[in-house]
Amino acid sequence: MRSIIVYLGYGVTVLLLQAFLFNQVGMGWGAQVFALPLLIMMLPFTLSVFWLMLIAFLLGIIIDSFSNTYGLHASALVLVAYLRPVFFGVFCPREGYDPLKSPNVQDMGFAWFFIIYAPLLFIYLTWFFLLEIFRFSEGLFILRNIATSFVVSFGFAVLFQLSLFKTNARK
Amino acid sequence: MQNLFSFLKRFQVFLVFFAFQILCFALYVQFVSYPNSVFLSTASSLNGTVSSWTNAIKEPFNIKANNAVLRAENAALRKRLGENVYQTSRNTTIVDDTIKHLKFSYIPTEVVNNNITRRNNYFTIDVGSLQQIEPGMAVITPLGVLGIVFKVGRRFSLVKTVLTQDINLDVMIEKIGAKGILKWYGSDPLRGTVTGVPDDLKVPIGSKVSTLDVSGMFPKGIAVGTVEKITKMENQPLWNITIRFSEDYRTLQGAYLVKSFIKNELKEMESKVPKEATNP
Repeated sequence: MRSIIVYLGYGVTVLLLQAFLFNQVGMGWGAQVFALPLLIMMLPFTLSVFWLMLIAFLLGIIIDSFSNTYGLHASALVLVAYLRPVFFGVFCPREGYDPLKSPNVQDMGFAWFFIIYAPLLFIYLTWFFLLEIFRFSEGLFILRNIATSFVVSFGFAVLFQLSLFKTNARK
Repeated sequence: MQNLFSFLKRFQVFLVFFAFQILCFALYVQFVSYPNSVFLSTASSLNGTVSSWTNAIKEPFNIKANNAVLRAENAALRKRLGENVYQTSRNTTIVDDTIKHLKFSYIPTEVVNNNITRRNNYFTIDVGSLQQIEPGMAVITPLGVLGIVFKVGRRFSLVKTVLTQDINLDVMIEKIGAKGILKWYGSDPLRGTVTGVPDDLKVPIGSKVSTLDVSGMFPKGIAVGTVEKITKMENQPLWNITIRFSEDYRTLQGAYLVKSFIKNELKEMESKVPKEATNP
């Protein structure tokens, strides 16, 4: 029960940040922070893929409704939710995942987080920009957007988790 | 039947994934093809209200610059007031006001959401069907044009701005009177592109670009921007003209809706053109 409230807190915080800060601020060179894949990434190990996809879809619809992008975020997030168990399976520790731990930097370590979240984020951004721009002739523009957005989004993911780590340690 | 069930069971995760993707696509189609539904957009009552709260937070940061623009506009309008004009003719002629019919009237509005980071940017304004706003009305700003009303909710509307790919506004390059079409290629909120100007015309850098009233939507001569760079289009005898918008859409706060009294009449008249004449 307590963890549901914690996750709801994360969800609302990240949604508000995405809708009213990151979506409003252009940083130049196409860079933009995409915070939502992190939410999908941080959901508990025990959650089935159907729940993941449902949550991803709902989150996506909410953020789409605030940025007039209609199904774009939702589609990319559902893809991340669909692929998460695949990546988790590939990089599974020998003894399996401890259900008491959660998939984030503080519990699983930075190397594990990087090796899973980096490709997921890359897939998310590629899917998102390909669908948004929908023209292969603008390949360079798409690549630039993916690269710059990847850097700032990953930076946000790490900072966000480190800030959680500190608040937890204080308790 | 057994095979079908085992197939469904085997691919159930993928099938659910696929169903969600279809749903996303359906939402997109719903948005593009039904102009009257504002469901799940910033023009819906809930999102519009939340957006106007956040806009209230952002507003003080730009208020100084925006007030300066409004003061300049007021000064320009004040010059046109009758009391500032020295009358040379001393009422020897009578002006009959029935000669002049009102062509456009303006409704002031506030921009509550100006997201410029997407490929197609729709702004939200705080007037809707309660103020008799209709899709297709033009929206202008103190310094330039904004776009065309796309969807109308009860209290909010969505404007398809000049920062969308297929805005295709009719514009004119003022010095040489050449007509062109305004487009936006989706990376720079400060610059747009004008196409359709033949390359045998000389386009001076820095000449003003303004609106045309060919469809009766925009008043003639509303500023759009200035010519910044011209390049030749590949394989076509046309210029590709980069213009710098006269309005900064990143800090936009106020806009005016243009209510056209001649648009319907013009449309009705033009629909009487015989089909053969348009395609010779």
